[in-house]
Amino acid sequence: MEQAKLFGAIESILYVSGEPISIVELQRVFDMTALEMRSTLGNMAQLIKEQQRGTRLFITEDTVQLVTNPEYDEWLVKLLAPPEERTLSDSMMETLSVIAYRQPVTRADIESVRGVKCDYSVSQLLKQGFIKELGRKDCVGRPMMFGTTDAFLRRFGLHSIEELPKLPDKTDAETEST
Amino acid sequence: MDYRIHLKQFDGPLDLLLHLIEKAEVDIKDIFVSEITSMFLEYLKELDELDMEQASEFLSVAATLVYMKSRSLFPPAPKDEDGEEDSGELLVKQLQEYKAFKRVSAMMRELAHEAHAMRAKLPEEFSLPPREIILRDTSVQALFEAMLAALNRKDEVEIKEPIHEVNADRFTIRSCTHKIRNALNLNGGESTFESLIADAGRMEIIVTFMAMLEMISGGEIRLVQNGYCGSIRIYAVKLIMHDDRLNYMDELD
Repeated sequence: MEQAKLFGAIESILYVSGEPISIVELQRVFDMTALEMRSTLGNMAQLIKEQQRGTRLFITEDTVQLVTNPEYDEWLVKLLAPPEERTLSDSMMETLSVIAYRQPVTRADIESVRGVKCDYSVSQLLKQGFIKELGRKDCVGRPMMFGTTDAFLRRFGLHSIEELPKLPDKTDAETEST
Repeated sequence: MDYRIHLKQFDGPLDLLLHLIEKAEVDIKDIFVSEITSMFLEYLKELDELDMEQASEFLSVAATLVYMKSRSLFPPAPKDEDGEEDSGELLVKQLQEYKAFKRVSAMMRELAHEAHAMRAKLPEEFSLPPREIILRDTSVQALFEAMLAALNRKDEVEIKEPIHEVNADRFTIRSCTHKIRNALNLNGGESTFESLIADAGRMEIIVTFMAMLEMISGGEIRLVQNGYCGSIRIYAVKLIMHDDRLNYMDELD
């Protein structure tokens, strides 16, 4: 398949889908290997970016989604009223950041950092799909371990978990407070 | 009545401690030689509504603070031989770590805000095809054998598991309220809980007690108990003899 046509086909699928599409599914449709599909998507994202188009590809470890280019958001909100950003509460943000940096973690791990119970935050984060259960830890009580999801990456504009901002060093945090 | 307003609800003892430390502009390491302890205790006094679970979290931190404060009045004790960290060092570490996560969650909040400008549209109502499962390097025969093996394994497990018998509920709130009403009618409107459960098993005692509670809430009876663990006397107030239209708590689904 000629490259321009391949890009077109992928774009039309992503447009109709709206939601993120699993890269594995695309591999199946176009009969490509993971490596081929990744490089195709990478090239396509690059081309779209160079053309300064209104939409771009958002590629994470597992999925690809067609999203608007944030550069044009000021014009977009002048005409349309897109849904307001729903912010997460402080306790949910703290719980989520502990999970993101320390995954896989158990509830007890999170509680030992925050010093409070976190059942509610964990259940809310599960419900909103930002974290998932990873299986049980092989220790007394066999507690559930949690990790972040693809939806988490997209919500924070990260392509992979490695892109998280560096956790401030304990001593850094200390010097800046004084 | 006191009227109190809390401007900020703290998310646990560490959150409060960090806030006090920032306000007093002291270094985390110096909390035990500062006014933080008294400020922390002052705040605890002001908390009027605190459930047990939260209270215990605050109290355990308060205890560490007071302990470290009292220890600072004495010359430093020789270091523990077993290399265990003392509770003060542990608290300082925990605070430093908590502070780092608080800062990073503020950074992540910023990221989420930026990412929000990348908007996606809702899906069209074309669904993805059902997921296909492709099995490679196998045959129908191999699949069949695997299933047989799984079935055999299940048998082994079943033998190990003891068989439990579960009996149907023989006592219902409805039947027990009838029993109580009849006993009250026979004895001129008075009875005791003990006489009702004279030769009852555990389940019947429980259900009879629940039936009594139902009847109190329905205003049918009144209970009198003289002292803790004393005999419970039951007095009829207004018995409902035809309760066909009532639903009891064990009948709701």
